[in-house]
Amino acid sequence: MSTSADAAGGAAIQTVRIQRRGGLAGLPASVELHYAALSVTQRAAVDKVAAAGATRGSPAPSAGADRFSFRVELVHASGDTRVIDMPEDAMPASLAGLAKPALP
Amino acid sequence: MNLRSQSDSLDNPSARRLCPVCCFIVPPSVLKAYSRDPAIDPATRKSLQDTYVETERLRGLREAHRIATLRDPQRFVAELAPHVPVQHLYDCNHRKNLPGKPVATPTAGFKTAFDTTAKVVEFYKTVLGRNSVDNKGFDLVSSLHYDRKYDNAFWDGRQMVYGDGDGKLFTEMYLSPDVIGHELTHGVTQNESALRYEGESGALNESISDVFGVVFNQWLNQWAVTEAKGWLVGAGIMASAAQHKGFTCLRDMVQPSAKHCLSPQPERYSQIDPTADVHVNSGVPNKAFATFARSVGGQAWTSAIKVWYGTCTNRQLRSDATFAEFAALTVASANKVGGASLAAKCKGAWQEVEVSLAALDA
Repeated sequence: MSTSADAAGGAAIQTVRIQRRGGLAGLPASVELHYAALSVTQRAAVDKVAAAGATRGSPAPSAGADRFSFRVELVHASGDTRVIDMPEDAMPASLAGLAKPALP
Repeated sequence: MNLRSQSDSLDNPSARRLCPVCCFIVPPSVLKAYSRDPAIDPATRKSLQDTYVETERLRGLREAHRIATLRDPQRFVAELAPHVPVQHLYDCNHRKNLPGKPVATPTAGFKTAFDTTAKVVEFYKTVLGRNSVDNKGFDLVSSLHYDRKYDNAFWDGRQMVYGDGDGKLFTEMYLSPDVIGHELTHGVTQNESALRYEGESGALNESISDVFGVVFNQWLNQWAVTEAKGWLVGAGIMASAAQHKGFTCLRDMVQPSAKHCLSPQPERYSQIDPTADVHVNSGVPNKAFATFARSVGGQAWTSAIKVWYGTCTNRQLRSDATFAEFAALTVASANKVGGASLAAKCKGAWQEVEVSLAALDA
């Protein structure tokens, strides 16, 4: 299985969870993916997010109103989970589109 | 260039009110060339020639303004005539670079966005006496076709941006007049109270955009407060899959938790989750406004919206305001607009959504 060592966490990333919130509609969206199932581009984006160093909290939001915000959870082989909050402007496009809202 | 389309937009009365000359960004050299093109009918050539002349006159005025401001800024500001907001339309062509490319040949979608934005400006001007988002004639920039299947519209601090939707849940975001009113109102809030986009102040920020968006739509359609569809947010952007499941809107200000809302909201203060998104908790002040306006009766733009506008432009409205603080200011505003009876109706509306009466009395 292909995994990636999270620079901050040390252990390999196995699962990636992406939650989207905000937007004009305010509809939450989430997706859970195996790191190994991601494309090369998406893996590179996950690695970039992991390396960015941001963590849980309130990141500087994208300017204006009705923007999306994202929470990326990186689940490691060790079981540890690292949570990274991302404003829309900073979220890689290849990951942002993965979390789509579903009709109730 | 589609000259017929250009000419149609220039002939549009609302477009003329907003900006008699600069409806779309067309280089003066292009206007000049087409105004002399014998292949174009005389009436259109005349229209293009007039547009060219007026564009050059405005450019001259702006240059004079710039130079005069540099020489004697205080004097010039005092004498400056109100600026008429000019609209600029851009096409993102499904990319995320803003603002995108200027639109020279407006399609139907661009015309809709342009005309509706012009109407929002007219609403603010005629109903509330406000000149664009900054009350100084701020030019309005709209970018359409942002990203691919982008299920959102937003105000980025300087301009409005619209996605095309995914075609299942949402269609093009500019198709709902209240959505354009909503986004433009974020610009107004940014220039007035600058309500912080988190917690209760963030929910108020969102609610204010919903309130002015729906009342603009009611004004546009001449709907009284009794018209149920006048209180729906995003009714015009629901696509087939959402409609098929019975969702008729994003939000309903009269019934925020109703099943026909794709994004149901709490209706009472005791139901809110402080950690929820600002678009969720806005249901409480949304319902307070709808309850107030419906208790007043008639048309929401005759007095109810003026009470809210007086609150939004009140210097006492802090950027971190709570629901209770905002409510207290609305009651004071209602007293100014319509006396004790209107203030009592306003207070009653906040009581119905359980916003702290102790804070109101204080």
